[in-house]
Amino acid sequence: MSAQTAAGLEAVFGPPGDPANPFGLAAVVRADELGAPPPAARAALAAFGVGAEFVPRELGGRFDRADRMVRVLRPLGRRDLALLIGSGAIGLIAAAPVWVAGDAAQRAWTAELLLGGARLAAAFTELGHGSDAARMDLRAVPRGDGFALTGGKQVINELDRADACVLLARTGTAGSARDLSLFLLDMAGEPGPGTRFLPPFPLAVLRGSRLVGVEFDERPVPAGALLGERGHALEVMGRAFQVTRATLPGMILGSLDTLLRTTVAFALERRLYGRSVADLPHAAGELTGVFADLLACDAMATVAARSLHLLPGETSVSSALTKYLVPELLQDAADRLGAVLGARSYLREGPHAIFQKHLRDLLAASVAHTGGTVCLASVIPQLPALARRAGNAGAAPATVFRPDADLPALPFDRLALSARGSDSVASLWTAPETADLPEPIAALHKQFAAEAERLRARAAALPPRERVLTAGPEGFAVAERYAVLWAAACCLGVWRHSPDHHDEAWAVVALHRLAGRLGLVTGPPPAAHADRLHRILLDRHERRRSFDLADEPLATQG
Amino acid sequence: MSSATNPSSAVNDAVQEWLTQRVALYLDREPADLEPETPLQQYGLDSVYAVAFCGDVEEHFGVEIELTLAWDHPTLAAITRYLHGLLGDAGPVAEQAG
Ligand SMILES: Cc1cc2nc3c(=O)[nH]c(=O)nc-3n(C[C@H](O)[C@H](O)[C@H](O)COP(=O)(O)OP(=O)(O)OC[C@H]3O[C@@H](n4cnc5c(N)ncnc54)[C@H](O)[C@@H]3O)c2cc1C
Repeated sequence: MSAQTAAGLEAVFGPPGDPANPFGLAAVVRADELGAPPPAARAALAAFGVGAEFVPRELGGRFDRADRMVRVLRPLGRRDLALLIGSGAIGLIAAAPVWVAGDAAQRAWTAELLLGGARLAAAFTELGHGSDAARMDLRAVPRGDGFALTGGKQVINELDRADACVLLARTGTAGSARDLSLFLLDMAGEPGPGTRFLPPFPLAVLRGSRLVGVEFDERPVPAGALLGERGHALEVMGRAFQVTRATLPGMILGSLDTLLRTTVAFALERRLYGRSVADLPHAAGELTGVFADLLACDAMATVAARSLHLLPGETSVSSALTKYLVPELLQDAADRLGAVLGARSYLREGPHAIFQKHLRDLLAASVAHTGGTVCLASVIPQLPALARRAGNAGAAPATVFRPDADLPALPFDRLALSARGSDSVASLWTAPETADLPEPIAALHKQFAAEAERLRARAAALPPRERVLTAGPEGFAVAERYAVLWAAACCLGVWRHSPDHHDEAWAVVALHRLAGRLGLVTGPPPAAHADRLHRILLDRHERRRSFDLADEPLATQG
Repeated sequence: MSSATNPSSAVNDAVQEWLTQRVALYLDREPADLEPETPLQQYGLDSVYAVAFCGDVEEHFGVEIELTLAWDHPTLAAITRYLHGLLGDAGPVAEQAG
C-alpha cells in the first residue's frame, strides 16, 4: 500500500478550509461553477488507487469490509458529491454485478481494470422507463456466436469515456421476468461500430458529473460478454444492488458533515441579541438535532454495510431501508441547517458558498442509483412475512454493531433476493430485555417495542394489492415506519456495543428524534443529554474532528 | 384419481384455483379474467410481486420454494405444474390440517 493510500483520502485532498488548496472547499465551489470536477482531482484519486477499494481482497484489491470501504470514501462525500459518485462509487456500482455473477475471466478483468485506474460505467437507465427495469427497450439480439445491440441508454455516468461498461439489455420478448440480461462490454478506444454517444446532459446539480446517452445500432457483442446467465439480469441486479444500496448512503453522509460544519462556523461567529447564534436555544437545538441525526445515519450505514458480511440473507431489506431512510434524514437535516444559515444558504460566493453546492448535490445524490421511494417500495412485498416471523431470526450478532471488528469476506453468492421474514436487527423490538438499559433509553425502548407490535398487526392486515411494488399509502406508511424502527434498532445496537457506551447522550437524542418521527414522543429531547451533545458538537468543531461515529481528524494546515 | 394419470385432476385444479384467486387479489381483478396460459406480467404483475406471492405460496402449501419461482414459471398453469410436482398429490398442508 502506498503512503498516500495509507493516509486516506482526507490527507490526499488536504485542508478543506484552505483557500489555496486545489481540492479545498473553495476550489470545489469554483469547479462547480465551471461545471467540471476540480482539475487534477481525478489524478489524485487515481494515485490513491480508489478503484482498489471496490475490488475484493481475493482479487487483489482492498475490499475486505464494506463498512471500511464506506469510511474510506466518506471524506470524498465531505468534499464533493459529484466526485464521490462520478469518479468514486460508480466503480462499485459497475463492479458489483460482476462480483455477483461474473465468471472467472470477467472477475479478473474487472479487477484488473479497477486496480489499473480504468473507468467503468453502469448503463441501466433508459429515461423512458426509469426504475421499471423490466420494461427496458434496448435489445440484444443473437447474431452469430454473440449478440447485436440496438437501442439507447440515457444519463449514464461517463459512458463515452469508459474502458468497460455493464449494460442491461432485453434478450427475450416473452413478457416474463427472464427477458433481461446483463453484459460486460469492452468500451476502450474508439466508440466502435454501431455506437453513437450523445452530448452530456446539462445538469443543475452534481454539475461536475458527466451524464451522457448512447445510441446503439447493431453493435456487435461477443458471446463472452454475457454477464451471468441469459435472462437473469433482474436476479443479479437484485443481489448486486444490495451491496451498493447498503454502502452509498454511508459515503454520501459525508456531505452532511460539511453542511453542519459550515452552519456551526456561521452560528458561532454571528452575534444576535448579545450572543452567538449557536447559543440561541432554538438554533442550538437544531444543530444538536442534526448532529444526532448524522450519527443515527452512520449507525444505519454501519449496520447495513456489516450486514452484507454477517447477515447476507437479510440484506434485501436492510440495504433498501438504508438507501431510503439515510438520504431522507440527510435532506431533512440539510433543510434545517439551511434555515439556521438563512439567506447565506443560497449564496454562490463567499465563506458559506459550499453550503448551496452540497444542498443541491445531496438531492441528486439521493436519487442516483434508485431513489428512496423505489427502495421503500421494494420492501413492501416483504412486510407481511417480516411481521409473521418477527423475532424468529433471533438476535443479531454483536459484531454487526461494532464498527471496527473483523468480518468474514462478503459472500456475494449468499445475498438473498428476499429475507423470508428474517430481520435480526429489528428482533431487538420483539425480545425486550431492558433491565440493563438506563433511563430514558429504557422508556424509549418500550415505546419502540410497542410500536413494532402495532406495526406487525398493520403489516399482517395489508390486503394483497397493498403488498406489491405499486402499493398505496398504507403499504408505504407501514414500510416508512418499519424503516424508522430499524434505524432505532441500529442506534441502540451501535451504542450498546461501543466501548464508550456509558456516554449515551447521542443515543438518547437520536432515539428521541426517531421516536418523534413516529409520533411516539413529543417535545424536545431531555435537556441534560441535549446539552451534553451540543458541547460534544462544538468540541469536535473546535478540534476539527469529523461529526460521524468515526470521530476522526480532518486535514489541517501546516 | 391421481394427476399422474390425469393432469386436470381435482388436486391440480384446487392448486390452480387457489393460485388464481390469490393472483386476482394482487391484481384487483376477477379470477375468471385470468387465463392460465397468459404470462402474469402481461396483466401488469411486476416481477417484484413475486416476493410477496412466493411468501403466500410457502405459507399456504407449507413448502419452501425458490423466490424466482414466478420468474421461471411465468403463467398460472406453469406455476401449478411446478407446485404439483413439488407437492406430489398431497395438496396444501393447511387444508389437510383444517
Ligand atoms: C447524478 C446521477 C447519476 C446517474 N448515473 C447513472 C448511471 O451511471 N447509470 C445509470 O444507469 N443511471 C444513472 N442515473 C439514473 C438513475 O439511476 C435514475 O435516475 C434512477 O434509477 C431513478 O429513475 P428515474 O429518475 O427515471 O425515475 P423513475 O423510476 O422514472 O420514477 C419516477 C417517479 O416515480 C416514482 N416511482 C417509481 N417507482 C415507484 C413505485 N414502485 N412506487 C411508487 N413510486 C414509484 C419515483 O419515486 C419517481 O418519483 C443517474 C442519475 C443521477 C441523478
